[in-house]
Amino acid sequence: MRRFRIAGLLASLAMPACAASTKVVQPLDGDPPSRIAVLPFEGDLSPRARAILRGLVGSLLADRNYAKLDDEVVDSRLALDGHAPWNGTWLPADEALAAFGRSIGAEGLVLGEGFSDSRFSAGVVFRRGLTGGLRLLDSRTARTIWRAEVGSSDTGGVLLESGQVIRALADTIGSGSEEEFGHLAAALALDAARAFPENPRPLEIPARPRVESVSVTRSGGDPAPPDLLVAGATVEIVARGTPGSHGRASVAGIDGAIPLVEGDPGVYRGRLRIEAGHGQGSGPAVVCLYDAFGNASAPARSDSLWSLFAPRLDPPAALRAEIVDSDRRRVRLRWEASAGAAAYVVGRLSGGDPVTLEAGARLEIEDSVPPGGESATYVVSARSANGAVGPPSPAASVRLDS
Amino acid sequence: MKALLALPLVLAAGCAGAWKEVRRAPAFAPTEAAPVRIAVPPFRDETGGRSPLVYPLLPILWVANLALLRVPESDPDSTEGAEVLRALLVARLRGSSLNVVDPRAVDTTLHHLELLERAHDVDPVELGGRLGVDAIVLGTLRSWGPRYYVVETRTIVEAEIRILSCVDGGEIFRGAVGLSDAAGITGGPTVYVSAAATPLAALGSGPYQALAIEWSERMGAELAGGVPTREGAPAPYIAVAALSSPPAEGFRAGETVEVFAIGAPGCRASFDIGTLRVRVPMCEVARIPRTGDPAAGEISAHYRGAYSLTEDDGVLDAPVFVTLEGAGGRASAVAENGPVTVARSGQSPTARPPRRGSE
Repeated sequence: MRRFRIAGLLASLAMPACAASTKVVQPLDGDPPSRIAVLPFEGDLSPRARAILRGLVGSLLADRNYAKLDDEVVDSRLALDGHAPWNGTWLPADEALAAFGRSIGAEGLVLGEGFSDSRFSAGVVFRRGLTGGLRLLDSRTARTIWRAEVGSSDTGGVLLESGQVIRALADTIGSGSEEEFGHLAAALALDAARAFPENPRPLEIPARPRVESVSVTRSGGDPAPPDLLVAGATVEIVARGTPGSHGRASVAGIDGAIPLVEGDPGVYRGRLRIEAGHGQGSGPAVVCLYDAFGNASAPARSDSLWSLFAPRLDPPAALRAEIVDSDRRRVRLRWEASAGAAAYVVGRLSGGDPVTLEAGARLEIEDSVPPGGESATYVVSARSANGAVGPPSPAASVRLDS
Repeated sequence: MKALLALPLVLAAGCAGAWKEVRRAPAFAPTEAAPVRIAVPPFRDETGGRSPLVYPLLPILWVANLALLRVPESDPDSTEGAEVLRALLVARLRGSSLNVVDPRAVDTTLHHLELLERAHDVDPVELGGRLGVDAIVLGTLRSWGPRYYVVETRTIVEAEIRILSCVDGGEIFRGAVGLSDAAGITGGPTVYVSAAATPLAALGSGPYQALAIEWSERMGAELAGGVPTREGAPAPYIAVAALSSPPAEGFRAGETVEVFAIGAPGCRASFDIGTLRVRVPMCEVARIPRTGDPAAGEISAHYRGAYSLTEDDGVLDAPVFVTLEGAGGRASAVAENGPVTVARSGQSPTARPPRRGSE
């Protein structure tokens, strides 16, 4: 194995450039499946890198006439079945995989195994390589019917780049970046997809899933009017439509869509808790259903309109406080008003535990310091109407007469 | 030291170039809850193909390659280039709020309708009705080839995308992205042989694939919308990511998984519960000075998100991943107080199937 790696390195050094290679070690042996799922890849890559690679390979395989199940559907089912596809190694035995494939209606499973991202740099030369294995498991027979070793690499550096020193240095510096990984992954996926056996049965455009109805109910957030969404309220969105899908929904123009999960066949539910920071706006609930292959329905809207008022909990600005008078153990403290403040909180430290004093909306308090310490230190924070407490003022201290 | 490292990058900017022009209708703002379903017919090739002037030069190009100890490669023709750009763009758009119909299914349908060769000329409303989509994406390859300037050769890949609404036939997006890669004097040739041979060698085998991948990334980012990235914007960070008070014995149906994070402000935030539920939106609830001192000027944002578990949810020891996406890229972190176990309604947590070879 080591000899193979060294030979590979030498071969790649002979030709500086980005290159991808796919070596089919087992040609197609059997009837190609029509419906496939591309499972999360295994390897020594970060979860994001594995996801990028799998997404590219899966998308480009769909270009070979395979109806590919939606990755989100596949991954959710894997998690529900107790698998841990977020780990670098997670694949169970082929029989268990085949059973999983049959349970989700996939005739074939594309498995990515042993992926690694290696980087070698020696000043005047660098090489970054992405390698791994792909195989096609027939779910109907639990047999591997196609297998390939895939890889892509980028080599360069001052030694190899035809005297183009500036370019070579830039390439060397950038060779470890995520962008460079994306290029390697795309090159690998393009090459692997070309080598993947083409399904002779042409694909047809599937019918779109449909949303029949959307309803929204609100709970909490009292005493707001029934159609007003404020922080603390929860909305439940229920959509009815084509069974076997999953959905995404939003309401009142909120950025970001919550997942809708199918309970009874064709009934999809999801809950969104309104948080401070969701902003202001109005509009209906909007729902889209995605079938098992990721085909989206036309968006559907609820009849009811919702208003949203949930501003961000930005705390008031900091302020300055000063001690304006002290007499024995009585201290008078004053501070400037802070924009956005509805009330002020004063903290006192004078030996023992800190004490919090509520000042309400006043800009001054008179405090009696209990016997004990020789000095008192105060900080003041502003508090907004929605409860966010701002940063404390610089400390103001006074020496106490005994 | 940083300046020394940055110097080659700045100088190398002369080797690579990029330009774009994008016009987007304000109403064209698809989201995951309201995506736009699109079909991408084959791109049209308007490059004019390979120049016949290149053929007599081929022996010279091979000699130039040999002088540089390179194996001569043939550049892919522009027809293949148009196919590669489409495939890469579709791959880039998967999972975005543009819902792409499989290109091969589109091709089959267009072929049956005898429209495959002239999809660009058909009324988009009629075409959309036949393909069952909301919009048609028409791509045109404008440039796929080298330009030779004696001391330098520039390989240029440029293509334009138009999106036409299938409701009213109007144009809702138009964008052109061009990329070039130079081989020659701006790369810093230091010896006579390479000064002459490098531009010649690049004539026959420019970095087409790398440029095509880069083109799809840039055009895909423009099309998919999402968080627009900005050169020089600071990379987002996550200082804290945690689950709020998870029950020791695991979650049950009807309970809520609450996630909290502190990180860079102004980001789009979401969390994943393993792969059970992904991209659950989080909300930026507050901005607080990082050090408690507003004069320091550094602000952190507090993000919060929640997912209400349904009776059908179930997962074993799933880590919760928090992701922030901002103008400077994205950051991801595993939430503390995890992993999460969810027992399906009326069941104890599922036992994990044995991994291969561990039986």
